[in-house]
Amino acid sequence: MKKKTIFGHWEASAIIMNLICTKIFLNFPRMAVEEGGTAAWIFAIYIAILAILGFTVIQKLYKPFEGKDLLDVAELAAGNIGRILVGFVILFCLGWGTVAYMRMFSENMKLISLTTSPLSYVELYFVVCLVTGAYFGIEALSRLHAFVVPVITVGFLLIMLGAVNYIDPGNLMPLLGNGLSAIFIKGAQKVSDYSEILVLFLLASFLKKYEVMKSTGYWSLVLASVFLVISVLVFSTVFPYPSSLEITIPIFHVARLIKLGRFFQRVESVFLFIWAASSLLYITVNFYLILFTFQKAFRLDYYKPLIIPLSIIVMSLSFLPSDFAEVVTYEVELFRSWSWVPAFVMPILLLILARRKHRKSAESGGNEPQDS
Amino acid sequence: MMSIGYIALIGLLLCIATYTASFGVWTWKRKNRFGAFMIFLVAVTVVALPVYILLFREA
Amino acid sequence: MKTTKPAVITRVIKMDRGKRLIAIIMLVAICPLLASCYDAREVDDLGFVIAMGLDRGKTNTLRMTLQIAKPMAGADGGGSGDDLPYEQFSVEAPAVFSGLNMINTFASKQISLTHLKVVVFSSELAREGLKPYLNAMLRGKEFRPNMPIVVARHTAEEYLQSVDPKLVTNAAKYYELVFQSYKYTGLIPKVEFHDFYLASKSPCRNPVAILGDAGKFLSAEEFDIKNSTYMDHHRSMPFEGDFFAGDIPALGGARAGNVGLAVFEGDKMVGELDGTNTTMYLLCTGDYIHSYWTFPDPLAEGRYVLMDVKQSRKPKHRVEFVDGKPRIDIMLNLEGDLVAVQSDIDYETGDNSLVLESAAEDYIKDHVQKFLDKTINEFQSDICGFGAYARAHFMTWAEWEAYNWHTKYKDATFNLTVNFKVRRPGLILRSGTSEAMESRRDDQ
Repeated sequence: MKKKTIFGHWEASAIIMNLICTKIFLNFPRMAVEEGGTAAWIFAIYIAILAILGFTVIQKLYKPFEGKDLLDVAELAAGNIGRILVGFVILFCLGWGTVAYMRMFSENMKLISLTTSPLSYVELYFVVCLVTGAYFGIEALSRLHAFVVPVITVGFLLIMLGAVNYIDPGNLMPLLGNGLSAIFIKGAQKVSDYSEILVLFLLASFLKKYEVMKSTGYWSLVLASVFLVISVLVFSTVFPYPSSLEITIPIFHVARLIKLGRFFQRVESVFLFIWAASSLLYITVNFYLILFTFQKAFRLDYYKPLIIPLSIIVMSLSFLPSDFAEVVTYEVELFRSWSWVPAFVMPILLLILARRKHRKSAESGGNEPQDS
Repeated sequence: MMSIGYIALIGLLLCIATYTASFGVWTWKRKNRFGAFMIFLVAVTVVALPVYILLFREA
Repeated sequence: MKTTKPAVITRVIKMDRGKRLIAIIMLVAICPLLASCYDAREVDDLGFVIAMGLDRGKTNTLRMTLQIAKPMAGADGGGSGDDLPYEQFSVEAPAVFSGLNMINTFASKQISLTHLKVVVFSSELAREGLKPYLNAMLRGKEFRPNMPIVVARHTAEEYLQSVDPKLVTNAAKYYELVFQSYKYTGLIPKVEFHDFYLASKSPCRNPVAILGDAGKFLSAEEFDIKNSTYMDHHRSMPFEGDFFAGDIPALGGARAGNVGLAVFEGDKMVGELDGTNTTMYLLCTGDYIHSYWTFPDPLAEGRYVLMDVKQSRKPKHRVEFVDGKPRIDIMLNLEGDLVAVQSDIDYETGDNSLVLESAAEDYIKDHVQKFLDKTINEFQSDICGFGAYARAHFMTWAEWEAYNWHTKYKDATFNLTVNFKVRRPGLILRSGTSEAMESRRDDQ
């Protein structure tokens, strides 16, 4: 009998936190400043609250479906068609995340350190990681997250602390930045920055218990929000608006500034390490979940034969955008404006539908749901 | 005229596609038609997409 | 006799054929990694630029001067004593990176800017505007954000050529140390490229740069003070800060000198301030640390009281709007330690101490007021960044932008408060008059 993988709350929280927080090392602080101006920190807190509220609704609806992931719920709600359609949506979201982030990480790596290396050479390292991680499986990945994510967190906090000499709280004025409507109305759709919470609903089958899933969700969202807000606060106090809009890799620029005496300089090398670790973990987990979703949605017996073909497809897709700016445009203006729909709305609709169906079948003498 | 590197790469992709297609055939025999169709799609894409990017997109 | 094979070989032999093949393929695939990657560069193969100068070119847009560190110059016993620790290259080019390309054609090593310590612009270039070059420096990953920005009063090439460090053999260390002198002289501003760039684009303030020049005196006989600003400060003789770079009557050390600051409006230079005004600038921005000040003795004409003045607390700023015009309140909190009292007057305790403190406060207030008036009347440039305190009065960025602080600054008025306290008397607790002086006074 095949051993069922189960891991705990800390491993799952580390996975979700890393997935949400990796964008700190890319363009989240600048995106927050684009939305909120000098009130970027208010915007960051606002979308965190929205994400937590969204998760609160979802976790309440999830109670009867303990141990079932979103594909199982989709099958309960709409049969095979539902499972397949939801599978396609999840594959698209995860696929975009993997493809875009692989391209963005590689381009940024070329920008910072591997300037003369071809892009395919840089991406090859990511692909090797994808393939290795997929072969080892989710349990190994979760254990890896459990001890690497705290190291990444400490490195990130040290960089934030190191920039304290350059922080000017006056750069947070005027208080409302780009205005209330830009922050609270137009900015609401940027709750998509927390769309990686969708992964938690795929990991639900590995977490088994509803309480574990619930605590994982809250812990990871709260911690991720704290780090996202810290990154925005530090960035917008160090680089005043509107000059902060010009920065490509915000946290890298903050790390470059750190100079404590004549000895502690060039700290961006530490940033490179934690950034590479975070991005590799992000892409690897995403890729594993693509395989997992593919297998489950299409009822395949194994996913391992698809590792190499899908990794080649992912790498090829990452070459489709013609330049870095195009990827960033699609990521910020398209994906991060609409991914809240599959991340929050889709699970809510599926759960409501699945609950109603089960209530109907229970009334007509079918199986009782576990907990109403 | 394609370079030897490209030919080797396409050869490798064809091997991978063949292996993937064999998995698709196995899945088809186990009565999972739709799953097999998706696997065949992956097998085709694993050759078509890189070839398009290497040979046609550059031009 | 049976020989035992090593454990690794035994394991490989026991592997099945498939796994053995994979293991061999992986080992073979790893071997090319020993050749290092595309971006591998030996440190010894690179020429590290430690200073860059940009002037208006004669045959092209720019004349770029690069000082490239000599690798053995910093090492003990390396190089001869008379050799400079750097080599200077100049080229005329349309832009910074074009110039690097051109220098790479005749430099034996590939030029690297990763250890660039300072960028020097000529005042001619600074007055035309530095935007094209600042952009390149921000975008280029090799430029460090912490490097100082210097404006040479004549040409950057001449300034860099006059750098001849005597107390340090390592040229990079010279540049790292010399621009830290604001911490103990107060005669140059604290400027880093990152800050300069942000200020040039900011709606709240304008940037400044360090003013540098080659010392013009080659012997003590040539000393003169005709370029000193002591008369502007209503003095009978120059104090330490009453000069611009290059005008200090001094010999020895690296001939290049840094005193004063260049005032900018956006990316264009609009004027210069001497060392004394630079100290006032540091006081107003809160970057002042400590330095020796010369105060006229309030109770003995023609004598001076020297104090080591420190900032006891960061200055407090407040901006209010009166009829749409800014009123800026500044409170400076300083303390001084007596270093020398040229008269015998007992300033350490009692009423004299209060007289000295009051005289110091008036002196500082007078100089700071003159500095601030200059920024309004002569330069119309908010180099102290008071706009940053004004923006708290606005709710949104659009309102703040519409106010247009840079045009309103010239209508600003100042309300200055200086608190000065004499803290320590040095190693003399109470000044005493000599017997000869007493009897001379009695005779008179």
